[in-house]
Amino acid sequence: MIKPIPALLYEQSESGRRAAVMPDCDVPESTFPEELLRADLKLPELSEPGVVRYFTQLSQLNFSIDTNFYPLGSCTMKYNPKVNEAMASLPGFLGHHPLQEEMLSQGSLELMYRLQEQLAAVSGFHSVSLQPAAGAQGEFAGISMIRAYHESRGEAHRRRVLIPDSAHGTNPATVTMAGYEPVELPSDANGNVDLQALKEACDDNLAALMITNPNTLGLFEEHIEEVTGTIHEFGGLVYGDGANMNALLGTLRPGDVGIDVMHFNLHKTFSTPHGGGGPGSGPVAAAEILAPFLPGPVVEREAEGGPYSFVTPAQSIGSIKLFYGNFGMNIRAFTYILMHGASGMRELGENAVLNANYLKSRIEKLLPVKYKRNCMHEFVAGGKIEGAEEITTRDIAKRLLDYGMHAPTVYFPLIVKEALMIEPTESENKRTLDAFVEALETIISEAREHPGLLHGAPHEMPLKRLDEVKAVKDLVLCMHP
Amino acid sequence: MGYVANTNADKRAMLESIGVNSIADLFTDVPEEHRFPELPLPPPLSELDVSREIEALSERNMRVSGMSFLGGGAWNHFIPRAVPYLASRSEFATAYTPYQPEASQGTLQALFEYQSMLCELLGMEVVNASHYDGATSVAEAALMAVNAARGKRKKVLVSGGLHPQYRSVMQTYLQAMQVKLMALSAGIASAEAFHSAGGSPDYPFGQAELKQLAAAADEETACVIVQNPDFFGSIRDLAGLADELHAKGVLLVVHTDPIYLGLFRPPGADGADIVTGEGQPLGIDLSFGGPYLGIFGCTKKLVRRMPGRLTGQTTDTEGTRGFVLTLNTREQHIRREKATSNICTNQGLMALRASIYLALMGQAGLREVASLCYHKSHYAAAEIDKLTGFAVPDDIRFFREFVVQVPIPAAEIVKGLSQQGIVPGLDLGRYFSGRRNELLVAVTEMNTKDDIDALVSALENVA
Repeated sequence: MIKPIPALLYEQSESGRRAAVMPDCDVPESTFPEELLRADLKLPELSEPGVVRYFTQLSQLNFSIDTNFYPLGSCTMKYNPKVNEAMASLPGFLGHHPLQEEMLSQGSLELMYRLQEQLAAVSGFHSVSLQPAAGAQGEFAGISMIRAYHESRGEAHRRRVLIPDSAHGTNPATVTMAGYEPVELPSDANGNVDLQALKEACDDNLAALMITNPNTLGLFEEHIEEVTGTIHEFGGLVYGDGANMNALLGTLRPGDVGIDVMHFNLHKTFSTPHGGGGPGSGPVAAAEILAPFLPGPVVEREAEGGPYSFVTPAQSIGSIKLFYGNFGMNIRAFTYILMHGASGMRELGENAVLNANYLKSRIEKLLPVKYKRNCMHEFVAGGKIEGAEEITTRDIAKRLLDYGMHAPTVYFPLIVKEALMIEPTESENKRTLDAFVEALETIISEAREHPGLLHGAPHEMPLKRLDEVKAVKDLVLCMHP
Repeated sequence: MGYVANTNADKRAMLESIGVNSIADLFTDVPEEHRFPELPLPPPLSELDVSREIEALSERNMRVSGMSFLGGGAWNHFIPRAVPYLASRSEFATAYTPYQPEASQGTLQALFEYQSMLCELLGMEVVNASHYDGATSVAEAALMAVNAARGKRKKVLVSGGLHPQYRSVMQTYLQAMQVKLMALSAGIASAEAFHSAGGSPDYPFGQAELKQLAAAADEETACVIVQNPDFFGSIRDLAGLADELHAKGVLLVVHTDPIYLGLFRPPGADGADIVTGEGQPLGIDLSFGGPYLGIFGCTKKLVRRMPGRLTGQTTDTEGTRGFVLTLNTREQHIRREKATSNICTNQGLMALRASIYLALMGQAGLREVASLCYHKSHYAAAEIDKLTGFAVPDDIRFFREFVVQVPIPAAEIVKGLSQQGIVPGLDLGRYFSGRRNELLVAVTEMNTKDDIDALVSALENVA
C-alpha cells in the first residue's frame, strides 16, 4: 500500500482546538507595554492526538538507516546505536545549563576532556577542540587556524590554498569564507593528486593544501607522504578533510603522515544520528604547531586528579559557535568509542573497507568503475548502461527507491560522469549487499527492455518524480495561514 | 562487536570475490610503517559497563530543576513529552539530508512546516531550514549583508546589547573578510576595545542607542545589528529604525527570541531585512550548550543571497504536491568557491523539534508561555528590588530576564546559593570585567511562585 500524505498543519487547523495547555499564572500579573504587542499570531490549532498522528505519518514517508539500506557515498550512513541515545538523554546531561559553574559541571567537562583525548588517540594529533558544530565549521576553523599561524609568523602574503578536483564543495567554499584563494588541482590517471601539477602549483604564496584521504573516489592517496612533504617544503600546511575517516579507524592515523589539522564528522565516523540533515558535530584536531590556534574554549585539567576547566588556547582564532559545541553529539561519540576501544576501532575500519571492496567487485561487472584499484570505504561507478544509453544515473537512482533502497550519492564527485558514489559501511552484512546487487541487475535489464519504467521511476513511493525546476521557478517557501 | 554484521564465512566469501587473501591485503596503499597503528585506547567494553560509567559521569553534574534562574543565551523552558517522543523516531533521526526527495517527504514536509510557522512568528517572507545556533546565525547574517553590498560596504554596526559570545563568534567569522565590527557604546570603535573596557558601560541602552546607531550608519555600513530582547533581557521599540537605515542603503538585522514573539511585535513588522534567533526555547533541551537551533529569515528580495538550505513546494509528474530542497545554486555543492556560505549539514532534527513544539503549543499555548515568562520575571524583579542592597533599574522594559545590582560580588552569591540548590542567575562579571556586582536573572514558566519566593529570601540572607 502506498502511504497517504497528510495535509499540512495549517490545512488541518481548526479554530479553538488545543494541544498543550500551560498552568495558570501564580503571581500577580503585570501590565504589557501595549504599543509593543503584536496584532495577531496565527499558529496552527490541533489536538495532541492530531499532532502525534501527523508527525508519525510524516516519519513513515522517510527512508532511514533503521528501515532501509542507505549507501549514500561520503555520508557514512552506519548504524546509530541505541545506547548512544540513552546516554545523551541522561537527566544529568540533558537538563544541564551551559553556564552552570564549572565546579558544578564536572561530569560534562570530564566527558569532553576524555573525548578530546580519544579523538587525538585515534587520529594521531596533539590537541582537539570540540566546538565546531559540523564538518563545514570544522573546515572553517582549520583554515582560519592556518591563516592565524601564517599571520603570526609575518607571512600574511600566503593566500593560495590548493584543492584537488575531487574535493567536496565545502572545501572551496570554506577557503573563500576564510578570505583565501582556492586553486584547483587535477587528479592523475590513478585517482591520486597529480604530483607534477602539485609541484607546479606550489610557490611562496602557498598557504595550504586541503586534502580528503581517502578521497571522494574512495581511493587512498598513494603518495600521501610525498604530497604533504612537498607542501611543507614550500612552507605550507596540510588540512585533512576527515569526512572519510571511517576507512582509517585503526588502520592509519592521519597525524602520522604529515596532516597538520583535520576535522572529524562525529555524525559519520562516530555513529551519531544524521537527523535528516543535522545536528552534526565537527571537532577539529591539530598537530602541536597549530594547537595554540584551536577555537575554544577547550577542556583542560591542571593536574592529575584535579578538576577540569575551560581554557581558551593561547592564540585561539576565537569562538566559532555559542558555548562549547554540540555536546549532545559528543556524548554519543564518546559512548561509541568507549564501547569499541582500540581493537573495535580497527574492526570498524577493516569491515567498512571489506564491504566496499566486495560491493565493488560485484558492481564493476555491471557498471563502469574507472579506477582499477582496491578502494577504501567507498567507490564510484558510472550510471552508464550498455544497450540503454539514454538511461541516466538519476533514472537508476529513482528506480532503486522502488526496490526499497536509498540511492547512492549521485552526480558527485564531479570528475566522474554520471557518478554513483556508493558507501555501504561496516553495519551492513553480505546478504544486504547481495540484495543491492540483485536490485541493480534487475534495473539494468529493465533499462534495456522497458526503459520507460526507469524514466518514470519511482512508481512505488508516496509520490512520483518531483519537479525540482518548478520548485525554483514558482518559488513557494512557506504556507501562509 | 555487535555493530559489525558479517560472519567469518561471509568474510571469506567476500575476500574470494574481491580476489585477495586477507582483509589486510586491502590496505596495501597505506604506508606500511604507519599501517595498523596501536591506538592508545582501552579495550572494548560491554554496553552494560559503558552505561554504568557514563551514568556515573552524568551524576557528577549538579542537578537543578525548578530552582534555576540561569539564562544568558539558553533557557529552561517546558518541553511537552510528545516532542522528544516524535523527534526520536528512527525514520526522522537516522535519515540524512533529503537528497532523494521522493524517499524523504517526511523530513521535507516537516521542514516546510517549520519554515511556514517561523515565517508567521518572525513576520518574514522567508525562513531557511536552520543554522547551527543563534550565534552563527548572526555571524552569517553579517556576512550576508556585506556580500549583498557587493564589497562596497565593509562595516557592521553592532548594538551593545548583543550577547558577548555572539560578538566573539562574529569576530571569528568576519576576521578574514576585512570587515570592521563596530560597537557604539561609549564611542568605542572595535569589539576588542569594547571587551577590554569591561563592556557595555552604557547599559541600559534604551531608545537612545537606536538613534545613535541610525546616525552612525553611513555609506560604508552594510548593516546594523540589534538584539531584541537584548542579552540583558531589555526590550526596545524598533519602529522607524528600518526606514532610517534603508534611506542610507543600510540593512537592519534583528536577533530576536521566539518565545518573546508569542506576545510581541515581530521584527518583520518593523521592516527588518534579516532576522535571526536562538531556537533552543522551542522544545530543545539545554544539553550543556548544544545541539541548538539557528533561526534565520530574510526578505524575499534577499533570498538568493541567503546561506543555508531551503525547502520549497513543487509537484510530482502527476501534479500532486510535494517538497524538495530548492535554490541549490546558492550552495557549496553546486557553487563551490562562489557559494553564499560553506554550510552543509545544519540542525535538521532541531528544526523538526521546533515544528512539533509549535504545532503542540499553537497560538494560544505560545502566548501563555510568553505571558507566564513576562509576569513571573516582573514579579521576581519587583520582589528582589525591595531587598536592601539590591536594585533592579527602573524604567527598563524587559522580557524573561533582567539585571540586578547586588551588594557583594555576584560570583559569591552564585557560589553560596548553589550550595543550597538554587542557581540565582548569571554573574555578569564572567563576561564583563566591569560588572562584577551584577546578576542576570531569568525567570520562565518553569519557576513557580514558591521558587521565586525562595530565591528572594535566599538573596536576602546573603546580603
